[in-house]
Formats: sequence, structure tokens, C-alpha cells
Amino acid sequence: MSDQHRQFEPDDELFSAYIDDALTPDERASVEARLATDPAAQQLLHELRSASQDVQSLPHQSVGRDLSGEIFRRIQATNASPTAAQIVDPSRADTDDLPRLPVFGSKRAWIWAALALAAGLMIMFIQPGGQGPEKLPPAARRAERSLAEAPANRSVGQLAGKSTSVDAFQSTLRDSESVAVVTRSGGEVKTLPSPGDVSGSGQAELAAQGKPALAYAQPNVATLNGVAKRLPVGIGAMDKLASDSDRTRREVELGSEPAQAPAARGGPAPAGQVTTFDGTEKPDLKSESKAAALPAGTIVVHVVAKPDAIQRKVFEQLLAQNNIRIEPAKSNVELNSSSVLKDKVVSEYSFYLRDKPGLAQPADVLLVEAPQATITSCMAALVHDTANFTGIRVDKPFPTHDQSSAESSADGALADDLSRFERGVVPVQQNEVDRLAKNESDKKRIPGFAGAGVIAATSSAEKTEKGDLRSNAPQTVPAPVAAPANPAPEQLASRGRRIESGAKQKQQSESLKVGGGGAGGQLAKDRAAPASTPKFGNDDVPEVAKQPIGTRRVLFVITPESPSASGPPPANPPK
Amino acid sequence: MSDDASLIAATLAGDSAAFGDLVRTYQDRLFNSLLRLFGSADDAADIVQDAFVQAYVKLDSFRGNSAFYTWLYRIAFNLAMSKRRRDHREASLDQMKLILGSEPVDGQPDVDSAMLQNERANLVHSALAELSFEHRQILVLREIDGCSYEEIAEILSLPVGTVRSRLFRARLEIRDLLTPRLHIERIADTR
Repeated sequence: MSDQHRQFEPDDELFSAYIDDALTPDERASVEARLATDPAAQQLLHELRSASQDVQSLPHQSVGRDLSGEIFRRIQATNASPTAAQIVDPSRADTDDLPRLPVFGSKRAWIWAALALAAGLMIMFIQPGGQGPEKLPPAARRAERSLAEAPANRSVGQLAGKSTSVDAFQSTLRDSESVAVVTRSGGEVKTLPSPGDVSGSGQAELAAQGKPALAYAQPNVATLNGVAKRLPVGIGAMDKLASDSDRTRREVELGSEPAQAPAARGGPAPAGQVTTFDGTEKPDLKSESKAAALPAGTIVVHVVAKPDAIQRKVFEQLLAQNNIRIEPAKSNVELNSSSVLKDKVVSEYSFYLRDKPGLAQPADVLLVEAPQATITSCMAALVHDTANFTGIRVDKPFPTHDQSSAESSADGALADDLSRFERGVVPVQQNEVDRLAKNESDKKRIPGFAGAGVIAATSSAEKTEKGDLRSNAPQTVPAPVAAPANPAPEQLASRGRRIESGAKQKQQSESLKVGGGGAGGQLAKDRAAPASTPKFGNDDVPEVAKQPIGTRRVLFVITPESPSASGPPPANPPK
Repeated sequence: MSDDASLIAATLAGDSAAFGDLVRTYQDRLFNSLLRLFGSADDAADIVQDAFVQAYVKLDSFRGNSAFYTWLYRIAFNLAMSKRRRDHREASLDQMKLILGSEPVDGQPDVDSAMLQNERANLVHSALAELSFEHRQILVLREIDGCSYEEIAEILSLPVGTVRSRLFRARLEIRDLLTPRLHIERIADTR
């Protein structure tokens, strides 16, 4: 019997909660007391329970198909990224905002892109005198021409059925050279699955539609995140950049000490060489190791890539995806005073690239200047792409006297942050070993060092006798987007890192000074951070990473994986 | 580590196939809830996919303080609300009936019983469609999705006390709609 017109008592709603067992003990006692004596209360309970059961009895409807393929296709097609897709803040149930669609998916986004392009054009006309290609010295022009003549890349990806090659993208940027380097503290961080990681069903669906598998989505031309200068590699790299008349200046920049003995010819030895007392010249290891010490603030990321990935310019695609333009390095002469530091990097790093018997020569060296978030995004994409990149190592920069403590601290923090992307085995050059290791025993503990012998060849993440933290097997490192401030311990474990005791961790990270030493620092930082108070459902307020203002500089050294990469290192380390 | 937690960890480690497993685990449950709420199968499927896309993108922000499905549901719910505000429409009674027309009923060997069951479901659906949106959404969350009061409170950003009282009124409202219709059905059965 319905009591539609019955006046309900304030605590009648307790009967509804009674059905759901959602009452406090006192409330439950009150309800049961009423039920025992009040027929109307019993009737109300019966009707509420019937209504509840009627709705519960509705048959379950299913989608009728597996949506995962379509979902991955949407992810790729919309170029979804965390910042672009601040689409839904689940903490705000009553949001009045329209879903913020990814950049290419809404009219509003195109308007913003057009405004950004217009701003870039204005900057072009305001800035005095650009360096057109025709003003470059012959060596640089040759270098740039050789880049332009590089074989066409395969398609980067598709957007609405169009395919775009990296070269086309680069030339588009060159044509609109007026697009200034836009550095944003927000940055974009991508979490798209790499080609090798896209689910088979997603790729199969693309194949069924006659479309090639998506590699990387087309970058947003209008919003440039950074610039990557390609440095020449190999023997004689310096000659490609500087004229002979600059040799003296080069030596000064190198920081190489004067020859220990005056050269017989009466002048200083060429950079990197010393003249012995008998007049012969030999490599100046001391100078070389000094030269190998990069100027303050430059973090070096060594990346080992599959040969075909180098051929296909996968790393360039990765940079392009993050809206980083690649340009050839300009000569020392042409760069203005504010770029002297860049010159030093170009000059000094060439000594990294000198022929080292037994170790692969870098295939590509790129000095990337971009916001930290963009660099992090690149690293995340690198660590994702296990199909193309087999090793990643981050070398922490050394602070110098001319660097402020704040700058040094910021650079160290960036290196620590980037070191969490390390994985695999990256061969270490001798001079680098000298730089990193304090003593012979330390050298042997550096994974990837040819002289490390058996230690480097271990394939499991087991501790060595010396307590080497590093695993030589590819680590499963998560692809963090915005680094969570306070990851839960179980999340730390799930990242594949071995969590050492705090004291030993600190000791090892300081003594080894390998890029992975930053791992200890990062883990220690994570552990020291106060755990966030668990709050029901408070999982989803997107974290806004605190980004430093300005660009950061990272030198990416891409080295091809050697055929014996998985085998034991050579018995005799290079001298 | 729970299945969801291990799948999430694997996804964050780069294993996209693990996310596919999450999709297959929850897609039907989410679809069913959204279908009951909005009445359109196409809209529900669309929102389900968008919700999973957003969950993928924001997966690193999921702390595990609540169930993954609760978090996913909130994403879907917010997407649905935005869509609803954009479309300025609600599922019509006719639409819901159209959906129910092809609704299979499992495990019913007796054709007459199946027809009766379908008819009852039709009545409940009709009543659900006539509810105010606020009452419909809280009934779907509680009765169809099985969310606790706390989960409902989090999803709808309401105090638990408000959830309790609103659910009470929703049940009263659908009772008032169902009672005369089910009464007629009972009379028809006896004839």
C-alpha cells in the first residue's frame, strides 16, 4: 500500500540507509526499534526495498565488442597528452567546463595555435638580423647541405590521412624560420605509446584500414618547444665547424693547458695534443680529460640505439614530436658572445667523439635546449621505445666555480630527475671513466665500462660484490608524465628500481658518480618526501609540476648498438 | 598487489597491452551504467572510450587511494555531464524503449517468462527515464553500479548525508512511478 501522501518523518530516510547497511549503530538501533512497533515503518521499508530491487534487477547491458582497439586509436589520433588533455578533472564533478580536447581536436585549440604563430612572426620582425644560411662559413654550409640532402625519412605519422616526413616538417620550420624558439615553462609531456608498444589490436585495426602503423603524431608546428643543434661527429669534427684561423681560440676554449714542453716548432701543440720533451706529440690525456669536462650546466645523455633506428632517424622523430627543431650547429665565428658557452660545448665535446678503438662512435650528437618538461618528455619517450633504444645513461654535470649554487643545484636536480630514465647498458669511454671514477675499483663498478669484465656482463639485477646498484638488464622504468611529488612506496617498487638502504644508497651514489647515482638521490628524495595523507578518491587532481623558468641544456649522444652489445666486453680495455 | 594495481603498474612501465586488459575488465560495467543514465547506447559507448583515453593519459596521477573503477567512473561521469550540458537533452522515453526492444534475457527457457521479465524490465526502464536526472543518477550509481555512499559522495561531490537523503527520495519517486504500473501488470498476469 502506497503512502504517497504520507508525511514523512525526518528520520524516515534512515530506512533507505538501513537497506544499504549504511547506518551507525545508534541509527540502526533506532530504526529497528521503530520497525518493531510501527506497521507504517515496516511498509515503508518494504516499498523502499522493492524499488531498490526492481532497479537492481535490470539486465546488464554490454558493449558487445572489445573497445581497447578503438580506444588506442583515439589516443593516437588525438595526440593526447597530459597537459593538452586536462580534459576532465575527476575531482570536480560539477565542472562547467567543456572537455578540453587535445590541441588538434577543437576550434579553440587552432585559434591558440594561430595566435602563437602570429606571436612568433612578430618576434621575427622585431629581432634584428638573423643568420641566414648564406652567411654561414663554407664548412657550416656544407654541413647543413648534407643534412638537407639526407634521404627522406619514412612517415612520422598521420593526421587525418596525411603523412608527414621529418624532413618535410623540418623544412616547414625552416621556411617559417621566423618562428622563434618558444619556450614555455608548462611544456608538453607526451605519454603516447611508442610504435612498439601499441597494442596489437590497435595496430591490426590500422592495418585493416590500409593505414601504416602510427609512429608519432604530427607535431604542432606552431608551438615550438625547443631547439636541437646537431653537432658534427667523428674525427675531424672540429674542422667542419671552425676555420683554421680559429685554432688558437679553440685551444683557449678547450681549456687545454699549454704543452708541457714547448713544441719544437715554437707554438702550442694542437688542441688535445701535448708535445713531449723530444718534440713528438701525443694525445694529452690530461687536457683531454679536461676537455671532456663539459661546461657548467650541460647534462649529457648517452643513448644506445639500434642501427636501423639511427638510419630511420627515430630520435629525430622523437624530438619533432616534442616540437623541437633540429638545426646544424653554427661555426664559432658566427655565434655571438652569448653563445660562447655553446661554442665551448661544440668544441670541447668533439673530444668525446675522437676515435676510441673498440667502442662505437656516436652516430649523432644533439645539443637540445628546451624547457625541462620537454626534455623530460623526450626522455620518457626514449625509455618507452625499447624497440629502438637499448640503453640510456645520464651524466650529471659538474658544477664549476663560475656557476651559481642555485644553477648548480638546479642542474643537479634535473640530472637526478632524468637519471630515473636510465636503463640498459651504455658503453663508457675511457676518458669518461677517468672522469667519473675516483679509483680503479670504482672503474670496475661502472656498468658498460669495457674494463669492468664480468660485472658488466651480468644480465640480472643482482647486487655485485661491491654493491653495484645498476642492473644491466633493461629496466622497466615507468614513463612518468609529470613526476609525482610523493609516490607511494609500492609505486616506487613497481618502477623496477631496487631500493637500497638509505645510508648505502647515499654512499654509492656519491662514490660512483655514475648517472645512475642520481637514482639514489631521486629515490632518497622520494622516500624523504612526506607521504600524502590518503584521502578517499583523491587520486585524480592532476598534479601541476613546478617547472623552472627558462630552458635547460642537454647533450644527447646517440651511439649505435654494437653487435657484441649483449656479449661480454672485450678483454683488453682501450688505452 | 591487486590485479588492477599490477595492470596499472605495467601500463605505466610501457605495457600498453595491460591497459587493454583494464579496458576489457571495466568497459561493460561502465557502459551499462552510462546507458541506464543517458539512454543512448552510442553516447554511452562514446563516453566509455573517451573516459578510458583520459584515464590512460592521466594514469600516473592515480594514487590507488580509491578503486580504479571509481576513479574511471568519475572521469566518465564528468565527461557525460559536460556532454549533457552541451547537448541540452536527456534520453527520451522512446529512446529507452527502443534500446530495450532488442534486449536479450539470459537463462530464461520459458518464452512466456522471458516476455514477462522483459516487460517488467521495460516498466522499470520507463520509470527510470521519468525520474529527475539527479534521482536517476544516484539510483544508477547505487543500484546498478553498487557504489557505496562514500563513493557516490566523492563522484557527485556531495556530503554523505546528502547522498543518503537524495537516495531515499529517489527510491520514493521510482516507487511512486512503479507501483501503479506493476499493479496493472499483476492484474494482467492473473487474467
